[in-house]
Amino acid sequence: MSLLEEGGKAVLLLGNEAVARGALEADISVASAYPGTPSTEIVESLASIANRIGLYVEWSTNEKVALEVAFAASLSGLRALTAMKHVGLNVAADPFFSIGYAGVKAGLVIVSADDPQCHSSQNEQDNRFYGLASGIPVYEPSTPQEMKDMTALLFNVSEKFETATLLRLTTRLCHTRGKVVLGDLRLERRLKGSFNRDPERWVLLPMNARRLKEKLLQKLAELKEFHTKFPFNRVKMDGDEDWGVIASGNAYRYAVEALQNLGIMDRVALLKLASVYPLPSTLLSRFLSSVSKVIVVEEVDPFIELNVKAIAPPDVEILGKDILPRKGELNPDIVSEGIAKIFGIKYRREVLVTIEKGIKEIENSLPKRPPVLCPGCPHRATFYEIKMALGPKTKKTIFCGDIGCYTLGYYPPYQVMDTTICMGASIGLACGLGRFTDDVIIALIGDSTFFHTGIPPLINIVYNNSPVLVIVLDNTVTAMTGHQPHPGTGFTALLQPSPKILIEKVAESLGIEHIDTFDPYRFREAVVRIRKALNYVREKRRPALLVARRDCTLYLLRKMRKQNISHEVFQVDGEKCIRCMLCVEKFACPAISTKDNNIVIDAGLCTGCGVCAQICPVEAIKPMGRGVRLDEAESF
Amino acid sequence: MKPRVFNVVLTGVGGQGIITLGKVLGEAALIEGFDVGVSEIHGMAQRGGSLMVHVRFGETVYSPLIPKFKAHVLLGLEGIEAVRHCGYLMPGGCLILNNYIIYPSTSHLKVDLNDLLDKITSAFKGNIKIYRVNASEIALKLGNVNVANSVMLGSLSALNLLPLKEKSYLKALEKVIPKKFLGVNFEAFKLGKEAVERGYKV
Repeated sequence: MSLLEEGGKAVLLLGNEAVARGALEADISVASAYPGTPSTEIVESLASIANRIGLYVEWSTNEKVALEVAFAASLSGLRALTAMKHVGLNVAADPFFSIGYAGVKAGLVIVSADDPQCHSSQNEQDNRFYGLASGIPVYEPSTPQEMKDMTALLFNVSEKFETATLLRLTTRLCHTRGKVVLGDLRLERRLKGSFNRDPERWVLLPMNARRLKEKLLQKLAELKEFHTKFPFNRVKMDGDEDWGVIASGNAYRYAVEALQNLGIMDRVALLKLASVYPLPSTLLSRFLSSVSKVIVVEEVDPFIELNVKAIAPPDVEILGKDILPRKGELNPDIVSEGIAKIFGIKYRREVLVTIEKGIKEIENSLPKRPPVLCPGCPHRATFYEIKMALGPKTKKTIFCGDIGCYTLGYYPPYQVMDTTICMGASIGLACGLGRFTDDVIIALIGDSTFFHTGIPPLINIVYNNSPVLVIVLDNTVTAMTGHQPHPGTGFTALLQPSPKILIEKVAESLGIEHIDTFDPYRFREAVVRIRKALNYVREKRRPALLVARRDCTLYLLRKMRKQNISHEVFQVDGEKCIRCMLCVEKFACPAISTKDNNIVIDAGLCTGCGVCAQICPVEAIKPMGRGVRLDEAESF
Repeated sequence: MKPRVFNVVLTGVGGQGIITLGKVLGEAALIEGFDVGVSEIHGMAQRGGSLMVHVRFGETVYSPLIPKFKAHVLLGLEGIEAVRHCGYLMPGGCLILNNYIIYPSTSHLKVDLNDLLDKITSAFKGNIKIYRVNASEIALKLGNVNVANSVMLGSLSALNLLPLKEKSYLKALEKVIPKKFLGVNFEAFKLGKEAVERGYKV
């Protein structure tokens, strides 16, 4: 377990693990988060060692709650970290801004893992602007080593200035492993603090807020000076360079590589910025006064660029997003090409351009591999069943989707996603569409997403009565981010048993009258129950809620492996099969494909869920007798 | 001239153990005292998605991503994905390919691997080395299709393309693979090594 290894050692750590280790070295007592790619492993890795050192870790219902729990720790005098993906900070924005005013007691580090390129997100918002908007200082590390060291240092900064700190990461930093030399670590934690009453500070009544705003502005002025000496900012300058390069985060590493490869490292002054808000004005002024042209290399928006332009002398030319894209993730090629152009250097040799053209052609001839639902995924069965229940009405149904694996229902052949905008929005949008259209409206939301932000809109659906069918795709765990437990799972991040909060009970308490649950692995029964719910909504013009409950297949198989239970595998009886293609084209399980005019099931991929055997009209799909049929078993 | 940084691209389909392979390579480089960067590039899908890992090591690694045409080695655990990412290989670089295709369930397009590799070779004007290993077949014979990654690692080690000793690969395996599966992974590594020594070059 490298997260607890002793100080002095050099180990290979994932960027996210490095942040976790940094927090441990800074003696945190509390870590909280709602899982979200690319931030998940920070708190997940802390959870994995928490019980051994007495650290408190929790998976909170959403990012807002996670931040509030971490803030409460800080108020109690305990150091705390909370980590979220960039869009998570939108959810947590309310307390975030207030914490900007109120400040903190014990060190509080808020990690925002931004996702340039939208690798697994609905946008690529640049959360450095949150710092500017809230008055909370923002920092960008460049390497796994810095991720660890800077995280640890930020707890001191947080306490020194009584402010929360925002550590801005990007996907590439989070998901890059690198060599990290470890610092010292204490193997026990302080779990109880004390809350000292100070209502003038913690009650943000207007009169208190106005006073605190003044204090905040004062803090920012002090931070500006402090950042001039911030140890992770670095200047390389001889004084006779015409050009300067300012870079932050991962983009700094691309910039260095580009300058080296282009052979122009000696010709430029280089400023690596780690404290990006408030910008260290003295340091910047010095830098800007000795060069005449500057290139800013930063990921996503022109955050540093705009702020540098605001203070740069008028005769210094500042380039940034004019030569490097504001859209998507940077990489060494993009940065090299952008810089090469400015310096009139040819980045790619002619011969490589020709090779690239040839390769592009071959690439275009290859079958694409879009993300797919796993073999045995219960969502696939649910989608198929919904379409069967709707029949020809499928075309006149609006599907409001949400954030999770099931967003893949967008792709053919399922195509049961007409909207997906943010967490919890399936029910909110469905509520509105149920009012403003005459179509059949189905909201599709996952279990974890339901607890995250699905409950307030569900209350709205009841309160303002909208005729909507809500189907909760309950796979009993936060699946997409790697199977973290949630309020419906029955245990906590620390593996303590907890009450299973049942979604249908929540719906019942709100007064929804038609509530039903079904097992998506039992095809016929599922179709009947979906039809019944649809009829109820159509006839009564009232909302209904269904829970499609079945463990995420990967989660279930893992549990079975631990108990040495093997699962069934299915095969196609070629004699019986009429090649109707239903299983291949409409059900589309990755384990089923065609080979020389026959339907075959890949024994290595089949998970034995048995749903294809149930939908086959001629019962040509048969078990091989290798183990338990998942559709005939309850959970393990 | 010895390169400052060694670049290896690993590709395949989610579930083939490519992230584990990246970890093992990274640990092996760390054991030899190099600076290391291992970058995982994946989208939403846990299983069945296109996956690429960039491994870089040397005195100092700056960019965690490998620029196009800079990889010394491309280790492909699956045919289609290997071909898709061969634009990372440098002219004169080496493709080590598992003779194994996983068709995406979303497409009925079939491919001919021999034909594709011929096309790649001619795009590179012949300036590329290709080794083919029946890693999945070997793994299956060992009773565990999941160890195809260790077969490929054995082949990589035997080809001596990187400044990493066999001992370091084995030590890295020991560090990353759970004890329960270590034996079969060592066996896979050995068979991967032998496969290359017998000569699978095309």
